[in-house]
Amino acid sequence: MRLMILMFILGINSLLAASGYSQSTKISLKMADTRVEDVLNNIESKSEFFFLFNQKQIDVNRKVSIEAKDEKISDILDELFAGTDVKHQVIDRQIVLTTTSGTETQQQGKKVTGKITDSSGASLPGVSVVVKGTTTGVITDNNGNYTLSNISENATLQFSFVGMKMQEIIIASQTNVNVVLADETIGIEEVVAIGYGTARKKDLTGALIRLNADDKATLPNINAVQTMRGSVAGLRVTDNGKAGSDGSIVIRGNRSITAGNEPLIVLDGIPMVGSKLSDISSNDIESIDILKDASSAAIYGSRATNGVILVTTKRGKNSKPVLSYSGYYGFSDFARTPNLMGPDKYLQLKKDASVFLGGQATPLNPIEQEVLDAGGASSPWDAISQNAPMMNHDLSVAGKTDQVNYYFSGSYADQKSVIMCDQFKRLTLRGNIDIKVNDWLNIGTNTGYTFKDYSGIEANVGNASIMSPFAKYKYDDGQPISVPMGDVLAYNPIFDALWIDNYQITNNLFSNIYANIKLPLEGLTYRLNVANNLRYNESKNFTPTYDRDGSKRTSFASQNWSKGKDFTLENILKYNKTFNKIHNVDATLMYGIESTKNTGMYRSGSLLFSDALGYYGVSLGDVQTASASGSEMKAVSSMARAGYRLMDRYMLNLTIRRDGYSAFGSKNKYGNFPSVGLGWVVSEENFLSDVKWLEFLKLRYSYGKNGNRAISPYSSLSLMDASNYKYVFGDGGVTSVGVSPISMANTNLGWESTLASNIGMDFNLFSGRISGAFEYYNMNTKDLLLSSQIPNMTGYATFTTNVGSVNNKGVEITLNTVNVKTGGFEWATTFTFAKNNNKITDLMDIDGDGKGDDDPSNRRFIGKPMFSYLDYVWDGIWQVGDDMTMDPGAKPGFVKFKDVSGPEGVPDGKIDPLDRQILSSSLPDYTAGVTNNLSYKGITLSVLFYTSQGGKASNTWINPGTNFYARLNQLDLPYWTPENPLKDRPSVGYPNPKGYGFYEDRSFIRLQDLSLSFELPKSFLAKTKLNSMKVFVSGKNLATWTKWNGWDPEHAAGYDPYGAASQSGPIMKSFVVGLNLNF
Amino acid sequence: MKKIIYIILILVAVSTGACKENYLNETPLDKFSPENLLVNKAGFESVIYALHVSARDEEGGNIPAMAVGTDVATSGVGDGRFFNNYKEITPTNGDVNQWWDWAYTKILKNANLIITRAENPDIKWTEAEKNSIVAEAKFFRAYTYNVLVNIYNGVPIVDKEFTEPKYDFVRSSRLEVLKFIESDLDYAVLYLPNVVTDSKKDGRIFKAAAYHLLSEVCISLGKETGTATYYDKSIASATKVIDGSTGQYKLMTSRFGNLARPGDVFSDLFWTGQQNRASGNLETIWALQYEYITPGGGTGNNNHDRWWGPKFEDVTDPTGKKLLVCDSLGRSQGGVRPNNYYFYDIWKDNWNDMRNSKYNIRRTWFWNNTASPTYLRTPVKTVVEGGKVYILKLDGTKSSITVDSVRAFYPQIRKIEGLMPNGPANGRTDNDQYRMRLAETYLLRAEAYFHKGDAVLAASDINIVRARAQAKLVTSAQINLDYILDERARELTVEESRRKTLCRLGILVDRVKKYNMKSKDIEAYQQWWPIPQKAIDANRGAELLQNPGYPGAK
Repeated sequence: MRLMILMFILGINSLLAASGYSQSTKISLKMADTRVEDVLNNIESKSEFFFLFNQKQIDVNRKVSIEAKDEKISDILDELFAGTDVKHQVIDRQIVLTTTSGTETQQQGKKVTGKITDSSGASLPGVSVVVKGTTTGVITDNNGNYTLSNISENATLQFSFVGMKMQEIIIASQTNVNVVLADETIGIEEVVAIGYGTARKKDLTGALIRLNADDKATLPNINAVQTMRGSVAGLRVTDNGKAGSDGSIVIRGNRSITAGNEPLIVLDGIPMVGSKLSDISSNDIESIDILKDASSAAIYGSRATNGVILVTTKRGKNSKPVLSYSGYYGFSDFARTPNLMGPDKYLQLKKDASVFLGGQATPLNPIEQEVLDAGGASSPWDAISQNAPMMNHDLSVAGKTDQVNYYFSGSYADQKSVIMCDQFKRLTLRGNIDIKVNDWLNIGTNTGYTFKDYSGIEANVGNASIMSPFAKYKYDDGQPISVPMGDVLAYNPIFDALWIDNYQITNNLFSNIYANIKLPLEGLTYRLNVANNLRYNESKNFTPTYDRDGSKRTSFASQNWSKGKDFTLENILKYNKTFNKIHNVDATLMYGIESTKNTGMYRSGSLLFSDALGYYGVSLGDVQTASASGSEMKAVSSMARAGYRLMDRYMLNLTIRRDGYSAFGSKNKYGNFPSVGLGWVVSEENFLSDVKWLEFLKLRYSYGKNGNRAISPYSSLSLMDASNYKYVFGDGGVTSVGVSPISMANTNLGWESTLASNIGMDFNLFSGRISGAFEYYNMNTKDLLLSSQIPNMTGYATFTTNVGSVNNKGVEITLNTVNVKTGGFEWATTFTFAKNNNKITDLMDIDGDGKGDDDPSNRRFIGKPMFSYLDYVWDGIWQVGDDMTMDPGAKPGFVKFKDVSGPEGVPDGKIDPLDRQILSSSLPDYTAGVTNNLSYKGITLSVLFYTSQGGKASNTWINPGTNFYARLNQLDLPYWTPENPLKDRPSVGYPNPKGYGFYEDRSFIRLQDLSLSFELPKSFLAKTKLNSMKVFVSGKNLATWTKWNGWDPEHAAGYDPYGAASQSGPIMKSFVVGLNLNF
Repeated sequence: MKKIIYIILILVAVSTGACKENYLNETPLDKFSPENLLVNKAGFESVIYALHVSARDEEGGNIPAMAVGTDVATSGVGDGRFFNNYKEITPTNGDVNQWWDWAYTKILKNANLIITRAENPDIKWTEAEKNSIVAEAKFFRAYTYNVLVNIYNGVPIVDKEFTEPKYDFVRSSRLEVLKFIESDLDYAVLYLPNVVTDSKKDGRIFKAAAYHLLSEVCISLGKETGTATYYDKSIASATKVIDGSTGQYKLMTSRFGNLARPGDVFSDLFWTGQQNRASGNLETIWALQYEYITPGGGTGNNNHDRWWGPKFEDVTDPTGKKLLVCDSLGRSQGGVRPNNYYFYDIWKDNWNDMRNSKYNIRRTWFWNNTASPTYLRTPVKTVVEGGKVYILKLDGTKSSITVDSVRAFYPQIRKIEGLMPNGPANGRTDNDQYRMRLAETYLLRAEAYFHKGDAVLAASDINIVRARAQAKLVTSAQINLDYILDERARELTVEESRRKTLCRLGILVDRVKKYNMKSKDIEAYQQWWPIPQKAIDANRGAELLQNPGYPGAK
């Protein structure tokens, strides 16, 4: 191992800066016959305290003698000002000195008085009240009161306080000016998580977006991933509609072809390896910061190529404990289902199929005939549906004292999707505690436990999607019918749901413990993070014996246990100091290791002599199997970050990270990831000081390299599998375990890396009425971890290697406007837009000419977007009487393709593979979201529309001939017949001999989120113990407009009704009513 | 404060202590690698087991494409699939891909792994152990190339393990592939063991299997080179199997196995559990092994009942009640429909051939629906009028109900029947499947004699097979290639890779035009399947030539 870098980190530690300083700090002083001012200066130099006072009120020239040994500041001050009317108040490190009179000695001109409070009505001592353009001013007293004299009528008063928005008020004729200062929780002063620390948003040089969970608190987002959906420019969330599912997230386009495009998720500073966003209750989340560009993400090096999502959970905010309840209850239904043939059209389909088959009978199966004769018919969607209630309850207590900050919460979610037996239950418990042990040591923990229950085999939407309207799903005694329409191709979609007893749970204990130590050098701190994530999952199944109408199932029991442990250890040194008031230096060093180990045991038994024990009867089976699995992953990381800021106007950030990862080839385990970021706050420049409407304008540039290691352990090795090659020699013999290689080794397998630049602009105009950000980025991903198709004559169809490159360029616009703000009514709009151009720029060079070559068998083409289709070009439908010599297999009603090319590069009068062209990609052209918030006196209406435009995907479901048209049900779409010679649809049994993909546009517009909430007025609550109360109704996925004929266009999966992809089926719409209470 | 620094130093030391030089090295916990598995005989043997699994997967659940679309069978489905329309056999066709993928990614990969790694001098085994392992691997390699060369014609010869990708495969000629097969088999016959009767070894490859295959391959070599000595080698190879020098084999001539079951000796050969030597069957040279519900037993994967039988559930009696799926019939789908050539032509000279007995071809069906008491247990009868097949009522008059006699109502070859422990609706048995049976060895030797010009000995071998079937004996004057093919059809249909037989003789197209009920417009170039498009596309370093006539061919 190379020499270990000592990890001394310099910098402000945000947690160190928390409360409690004044309580625990003890000071020793010995000064005789000294001016008060010198005593105060001495205290400032010995501690982090600083004093705020008005020299006109406080006599600082008074001589005192004072001696203190390890005394608290308040005791020292009591002594110092004993016998005077000076009062002191300690607010964290800030000490406000006031006199009881709080008035000026000079009594000239106009006198103004007032009281300053915060938004909750509490008085604010220590607020600076200054006459604009002068040095005249006072500090508010203990009760938040101030008095200013000798003020001219045209003066403007500025009210400012740390963490609050500054306000300016013109005096005019007023003599009493009361001011409510608002928290500066949004906007450029906001402090955001940047990975291994925090920063003011105005100091960032990269593209970072913060989502405040509060903004989405009235939406039924059981999973936090739903919070991000449609709200962040450049972040695409795909929902698969399943209860409790995590969906998928892509930030700024697909960089990797096969190694995964999911961003890294970091929970309270620790990367989540084995756990998921569904392990966190949305209500525990304070904020989500999304790092989109290379320089922001580079501190996570090898895993940052796809962007980083930093999730921060809540902490205490008020000294008084706050008890909060939040809950909702509602229902879900299919948001959108593909239309299947109903009874009449289905019967017509049978007739037309018979004609297509030259008169061969296509009778209804007996069971269908029986249902038809009885006058029955049903929709398969009804057959697989269930009532789908959902509810969520969260309870939390939070608060802070000088020594301890705490947040405890528990939540329970219970959700059913409308698909039978698709359910999700979740219990979460969380405790976040920070303890200030003394003036140099802080320790704390973020610990969460999650129990998730996915039990039940959900109805199979794929099987439902081919089901006859005359199917019968259950016998009269309630047992499921194995083949409900009498055709074995169409297995009962609810059979497994009803017949198999399935238990499926996960437990997750995520615990991060840290210690923060202040080192003797000013501004230097050390932090140690130790994080353990323990996962324990169980899956059990029992299938009872079934033997009815020729269908047979032998009894089968199985139990599957798996355990995972993720361990992270990080040493972090930080240094932060401001020199000469204008030079700020912020440096971070990190060294850490990480490991993940997963193990599992599986056992099954078949042919149980009794069904009574269910899956606990696993050992009763005549036939037993057992297997074990295990894998391990390790990583080593070191990182350095340095930031320099001049006059809050110019910023420079440099980071470098070095990562080693075990899954890479033995020759290529380590990678380096440097980045640079520059920022310029243009609006601070003097030449813009006259532009009043321009509040804030910053230009940013960043450039850096990130990595992708999203491959599974052992990917670089030649592996042999022993689980799928068993054989039994002889009758009644025992199992012989065969072993076969499954992958080719690649000792050179290394990082996939992305070099990316980002140009950004943040702006805030007209006092915050218009604000937003504009980003342009250009990302080159190279050395792709590509599972590329190789000639399978080698024995392997694919090979994982570092080859090829992908470019993503794009723009993102985020625009927040306050359109109307008058008389308590406010209408605000957030608009997000993202356009990404994806292009494969290089692939493997096969022919040795030094250039990459297209890979048609994997649908990869240089200069074209990923997921492009190579296929024949649709040219209509062959009609009766057409000359079909160019396509000898064709018949009227078949798809006609264009003769584009031939061996000579020109049309040759023959349809053959040379006529295949690169058609469109399935990636969208752009996505956009618009959120409108209208509020009036506590009533808020929020509406989010989301759209994705462009991209075509293959949907062979729309061709009946591909899908057993004579036996199964089909999408309700017209088809060609001699009597109805359509020009855009093939005949009913078009056998699709060339495997044409049938492409459809995935564009859609969705009314995604709608919420109406009402916050009860404070006066109304005065007699109760409640601090606040909010009621709301909200809905999700309420309407979708699209031309796509498959499942949801967003995932566009499941066009193959028999495939596993059909499990990404319909998405759900939901309605809830909810309540938030604070005590 | 110094204390703090010490603490930090200790913590740092602790955290680095874990970071030894090999911290990031990987050793798979639940997977083998060739390096840690292939160190002794047991390791190599486990790869041999994988070869057996893959051999069983040849059809991969697909239609028996080695039989359908030939002279013996077409498909009952109404559209062009399953070789009803040879124009649908394109370079992206599923069957075309299936056999190619099976050969190269399942069998040849493992066979070559064994053959290449066996040369590692560090392996702890005896020379004899090594030789028998390599011999079995070479047998599988030869078997597979013999499939490839007879459906795609010349293919790339892959003879070693690949540890890195290769993109410039080229096709070898048919002769080169055949000679490669011959050399593998020459090795295999030296080191494979003689057959023994040991229930634990049923299904394994013995010397006779290699000789049987060599006998066939030498006929192909004789045809390809015009060298008659290959026929002598073919005859000699078959003789090694027949004369007992590779262990005892004999045609079964009296009933065996489950005698309570009505039947004859030919039907005994095919009933559940009666293929292995341990059951007393000495005719089996190589049978693919199936076993109910045991891990590795491939339960419910013998698809022959499902593919070959008629879709009788579509047959409706005059009152509208269907024939029902039941235990004795299974649930077949008419995917492979034997041609009239099989059902009628080949028996017409000798209808009483045992292989045409009611125990071996089910020509009479009985109504079995209890909801239809009038017709229950009476035979299904039909009449053809105006090109349509009508169901007859009991009194012999025509009902209005017609039946599809191509897919739903035709005689059933009873080789496919057996116990159905997975339920009749599943339509699958767990019967072991013959790959090589002694009767075929006789017919191969007869064929070699015929090609050599010795009709007398050819007739004599054929008559050994016919005698067991109690069929009329044939005279040498009657022997010609058609007769040999007819005899193979009578004896081996369902078991035989008929497509391979016709292709190796170069007569697929003629026979299909003559006997197949549907694919009469097959063209000459369609004797070979196309090379899969994906193999051509992926092979970017050299041109993998497409077979003539197919899209993309030069």
